[in-house]
Amino acid sequence: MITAGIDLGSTYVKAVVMRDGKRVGHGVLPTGHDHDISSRKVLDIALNMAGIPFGDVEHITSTGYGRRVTSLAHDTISEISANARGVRWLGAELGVRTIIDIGGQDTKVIAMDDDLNMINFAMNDKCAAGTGRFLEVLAKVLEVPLDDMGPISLTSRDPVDITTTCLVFAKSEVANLIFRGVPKEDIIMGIHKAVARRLAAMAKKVGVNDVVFFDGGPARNTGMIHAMERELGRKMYVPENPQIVTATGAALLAGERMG
Amino acid sequence: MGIDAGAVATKLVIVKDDMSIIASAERATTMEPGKLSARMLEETIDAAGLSRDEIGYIVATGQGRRSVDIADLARTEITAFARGAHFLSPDSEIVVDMGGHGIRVMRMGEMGIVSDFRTNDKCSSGTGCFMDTMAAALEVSIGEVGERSLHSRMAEHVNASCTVFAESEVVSLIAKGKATDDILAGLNSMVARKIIALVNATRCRGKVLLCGGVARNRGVINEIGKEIDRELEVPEEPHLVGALGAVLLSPRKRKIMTEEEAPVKAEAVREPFLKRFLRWSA
Repeated sequence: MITAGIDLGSTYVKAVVMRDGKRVGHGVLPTGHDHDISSRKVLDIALNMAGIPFGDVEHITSTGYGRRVTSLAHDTISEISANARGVRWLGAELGVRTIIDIGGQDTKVIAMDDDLNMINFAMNDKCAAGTGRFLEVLAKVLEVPLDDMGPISLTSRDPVDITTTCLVFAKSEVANLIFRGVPKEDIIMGIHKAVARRLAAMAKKVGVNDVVFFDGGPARNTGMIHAMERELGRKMYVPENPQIVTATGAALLAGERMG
Repeated sequence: MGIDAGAVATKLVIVKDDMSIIASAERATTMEPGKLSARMLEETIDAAGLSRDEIGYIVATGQGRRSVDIADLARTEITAFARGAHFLSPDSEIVVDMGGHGIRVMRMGEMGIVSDFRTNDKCSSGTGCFMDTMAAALEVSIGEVGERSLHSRMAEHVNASCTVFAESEVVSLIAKGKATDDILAGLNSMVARKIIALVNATRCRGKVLLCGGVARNRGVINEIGKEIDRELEVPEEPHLVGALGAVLLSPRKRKIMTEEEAPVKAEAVREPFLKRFLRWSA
């Protein structure tokens, strides 16, 4: 059985191809203007990796913010459910009870019971603070490639305190810190701490228990993981490829829906 | 002299002993508010044909007030706005400072003392820099935003309230070929809704004075007027209210204000300064 999950996020589209319960291919691309083209392109990358022709895919389930705008999928699933499904598959033995999924324009915290069923969740999609966008915009202000933010921040000895919440104000604050000659690594770790504070506050509302699973594109950032661990006072479990957890869940659900 | 070193714009007013304004200036705030205010002072007195010796006491307010080293005194923007607003409109119960980085709603008690206060200063939605961001995305100068939105026949609704997300939404509205004036009208009505919500949260039914730089946007003022059922007042140069309030906080002006003839003097100055260009009654 060959299935695929496509996660159409606000910033990136992700695809996962599964064959008989194994992940055999995946792809990630920046979200374009046309969701049909983006989802086909990213699926082709994943299929290419798996060496499977498009015609062999039996069922495609789409998820994410743009899930209803693509005509490629047979059906859709909310990103909360898809993410929880992906985590259940990836981390069944880890004792995961809390998931923090940080996206480009929204962040979700999901609480699970002992059987890994979702019991509560919180979502922030109203404010850019505490989302990937916060990191992306400030990386540009700092003229640092997004992928370098983590490693640079880990060299910080004296992280700054970002006092503003709103991304627009934080941009001015960071510009001012640069102007005053504050070392970049201290500013970047300060930014990670600011995002971590927001995420931790959200997580505490939902309830933080046992192992915390941290996924979404920004979970690739080592400085972000470090800041989260300090803020929550516990280890975070980050999967090898945190960006494709939700697409993995969608591919698994595609299989279940075929029966 | 009063100087209001705001987050986005720095405003300066020079006032004579009889409280008439002889010069005013406005510049975009820079990274060095101290240097900027000193330069603005030089430029303004040169243009007005004044000398530095003629400038008496200087009071600074605004977010950058502590960096203004030419000032003799620094006071918070709440104190300054309340003082300036009470001077211009003693019967207003609510004063809204529609600023570059914050919306501040003050409830005025006896003698122009602030009795209650609300702000949205954690979030830029609805502030001056919200509209600056949108105007830049639409390639419209900020001064035109109000006027152009008045030409719209059907406002384009904008869903996102976050400045960052609203900017993306505006970019996609432009890509869909929506008319700039209609997008501006939709944005102005969002700003108006934010301000109305903050005003209504005070549960006070009295007259409202709208000031701060954003109060120059006629589109926003019109929208607030349509949606709110109470009397509104907008001074002619609403962005100068903080700087004017700062002047009134200097020891000498305080004395004038408490003297018996003060209300008469205030009335004489108020008339030319406060041209009531908009007014609604419930």
